[in-house]
Amino acid sequence: MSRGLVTGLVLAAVLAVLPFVWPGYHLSLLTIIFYWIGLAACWNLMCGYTGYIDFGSAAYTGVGAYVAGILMIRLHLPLAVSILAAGMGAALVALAVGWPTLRLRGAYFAIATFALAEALKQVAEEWASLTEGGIGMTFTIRLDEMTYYWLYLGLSGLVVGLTWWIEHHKHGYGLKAIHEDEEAAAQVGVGTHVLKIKTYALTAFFIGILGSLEANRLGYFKPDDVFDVHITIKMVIMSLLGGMGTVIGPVFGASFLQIIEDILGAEFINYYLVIVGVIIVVVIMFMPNGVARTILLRFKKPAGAEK
Amino acid sequence: MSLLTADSVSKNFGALNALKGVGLSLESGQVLGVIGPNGSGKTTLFNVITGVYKADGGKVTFEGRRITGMATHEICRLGLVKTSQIAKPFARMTVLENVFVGGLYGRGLSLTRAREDAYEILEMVGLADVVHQPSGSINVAMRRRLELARALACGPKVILLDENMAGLTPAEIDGALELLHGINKNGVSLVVVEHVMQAVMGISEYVIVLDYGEKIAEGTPDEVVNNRRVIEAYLGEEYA
Amino acid sequence: MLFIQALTNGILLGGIYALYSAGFSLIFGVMGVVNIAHGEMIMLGAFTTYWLFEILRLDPFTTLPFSLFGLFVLGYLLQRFVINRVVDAPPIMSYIMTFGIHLVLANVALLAWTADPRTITTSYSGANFKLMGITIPYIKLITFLISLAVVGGLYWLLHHSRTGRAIQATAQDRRMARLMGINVRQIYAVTFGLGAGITGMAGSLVASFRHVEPAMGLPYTITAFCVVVLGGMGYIPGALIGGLILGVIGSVSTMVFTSGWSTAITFFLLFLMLLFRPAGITGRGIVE
Ligand SMILES: Nc1ncnc2c1ncn2[C@@H]1O[C@H](COP(=O)(O)OP(=O)(O)O)[C@@H](O)[C@H]1O
Ligand SMILES: [Mg+2]
Repeated sequence: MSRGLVTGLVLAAVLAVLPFVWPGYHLSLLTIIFYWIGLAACWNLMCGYTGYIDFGSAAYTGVGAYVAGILMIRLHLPLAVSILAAGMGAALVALAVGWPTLRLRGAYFAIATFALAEALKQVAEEWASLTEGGIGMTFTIRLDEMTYYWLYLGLSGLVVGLTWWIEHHKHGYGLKAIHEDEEAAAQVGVGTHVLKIKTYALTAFFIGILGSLEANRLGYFKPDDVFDVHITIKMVIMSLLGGMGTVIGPVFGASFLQIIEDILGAEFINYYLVIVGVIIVVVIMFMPNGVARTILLRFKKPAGAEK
Repeated sequence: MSLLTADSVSKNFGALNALKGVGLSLESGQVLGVIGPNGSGKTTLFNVITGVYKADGGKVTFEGRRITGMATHEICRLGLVKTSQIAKPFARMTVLENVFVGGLYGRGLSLTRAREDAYEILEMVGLADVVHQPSGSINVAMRRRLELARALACGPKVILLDENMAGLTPAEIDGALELLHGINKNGVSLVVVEHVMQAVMGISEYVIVLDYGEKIAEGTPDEVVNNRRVIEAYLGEEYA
Repeated sequence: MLFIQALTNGILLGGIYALYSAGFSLIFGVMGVVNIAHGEMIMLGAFTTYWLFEILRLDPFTTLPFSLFGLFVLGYLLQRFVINRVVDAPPIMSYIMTFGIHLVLANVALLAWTADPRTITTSYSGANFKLMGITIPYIKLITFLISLAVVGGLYWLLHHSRTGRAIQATAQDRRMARLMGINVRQIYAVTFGLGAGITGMAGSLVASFRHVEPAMGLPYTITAFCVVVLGGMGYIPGALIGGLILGVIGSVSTMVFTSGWSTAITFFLLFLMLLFRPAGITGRGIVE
């Protein structure tokens, strides 16, 4: 365990100085990779561990972007305050949606979240007096590129680290028990409803922060960008490829997909979603544990043997 | 004062009255048997007592406190724990982890304490050899003992056992009964549901009999087996 | 008067809502599968009608059998060869899978037919008659009547045909159905085919008065969710009740707000239902 910690710290240090040694174009690629690792890790922490599937995570990048946008651009609040508020706004929405749906069958959660992102997009479009509607909002205050890189590195590290911590502590066992059999989990004392809601709000908090920072990094956003269903799609497929319900899965999945996307480039975008869809179907059909995990499982010693 | 009481509990599934005002009362240290033909409402009674289903009428008290309407996990933490008729291990977790969860949540133990506790319990129920196996891979008899171990990990005052011996060989049943005796000696009161009368008669001090959601008889095992209505319910009228 | 007009529009609209939600409810009720690709079945039905109209000049209403058949086959094959692989896995696997199918269908359609919105204009498009001062477009009325007939037909099929009873038995207890000698996988495939087929018909009907485009599916999926939750998930007559209610709410609220708010209002309603009455107005939905 302490060796893992040392490895993690060394890795973090190397990654933190990486942009200095390897500057230029790669900085933006690395930045975007860590942004997606953060998002995918959030999705995985809720959905991969509990088995409740969120099809509307873009709701939280959107809410985050708009909370930060409105606070910074209209009210001229400082960036740090606005970003934090963005996270809290997203968490509040998650609480409101999670409370009624997370006590029902997983189908209801999937449905409600799927509709949520779309509904919020429309609110942002229509409520132009607050959000500028389809015209979009432009940030005047931004950070420099290196800072975004460090922030994303830190945030994704934090979420992955948090996942690791949860996995090895009480909550992780509770979440896994929920995934396996909710009724049995309640029978041994797991307060399933509250545990799910807490986890969901926590991940929405981080998605909100990441979403607001990304909107700020790009400088300009409109409803279509930040509530884009493709954001959710990528989070789903990154977790799925890497292996849902594992600490490291989303790191693999996000890095892999983002690099592929970068290589294939823009002319490929039309085929991209078709291929992503086919990959999802094929992975579920043949490797429901995720690609990385399926391969890893072959080498792994029996679970729990080290304890 | 009784440890656990159910007072004219009823439960409907649509037009079906699965429980029609059933009562029971369990004294501290007692073993109570509940028998009845298939579909008579035994499982439903347990589910209503432990808050899995909301009762449509009646009330349940535990240690003098009304628990009707409380959530299952809260009831568990009070010390009233149920095992399921269909054993439901957390299949992808190891046998140890299954029991461990009970200690963590049901009793609120620390990680280390819960782990030690889980080892001890698994030793006691005879699963020491399979602690690190995924619980999905162990056989049915073992799963039943795992159900029991998981319930024990919650530090219960009362365990409701729903057909925990179904499908076991006579030898395995003897082993299970011995285990239950031991658990009871350690101060845990038991309510034992069995479809098969013999399994429950040896261990119970008092037995209630359900049929079509109604309590048709109660008494000591001897009284019950000689009760005309019970024989009718089990064997059909021509044997009575 | 304005209100009565809106009410009438809403009821007429409610019929088609009911039709395109019934298939969703059926698939969920029988297999527990949440079909995220539901809207794409509508889109494909609509394109079937569009192309038959465009190329062969077939009247939109005469294309219904084609979309029924085409979507039945597609649904049957999807279930038989793809979704059936995960029916024994945790239900979330099927959600993610239909999500993948949604992406494939919507984007293949986009590549094949471009994003341009298309419309069908027939000689009777826009024609209407007045009844006690209320304007009733012919297309909407016919659509309404056909929708009711199809939903009624589905209900009849489920309760009075051999296949229907096998479907119901499978829905209630898959293991039991297997023991009774029912080929569960076959029944699942037929169920998905049926659900997709009638949804495709709804798409054909929609095509005669709405835009037809590859991205059209999503709002329909959301509306179908909402209708089905309103009426009770998995309970077919609930789709009719939910459809009519949502149709009326939709058309009255469009009178009050702008139509841009419709998805938001739909969602808000969905949220309230889930909060206070998750089993639907009928209380017969499958909740846990
Ligand atoms: N969740 C449920 N929904 C509908 N009916 C149920 C449900 N659970 C049990 N029943 C019905 O209630 C009756 C009692 O069942 P149960 O309590 O399981 O009986 P037992 O455990 O004595 O065999 C049966 O007729 C059964 O079909
Ligand atoms: Mg039973």
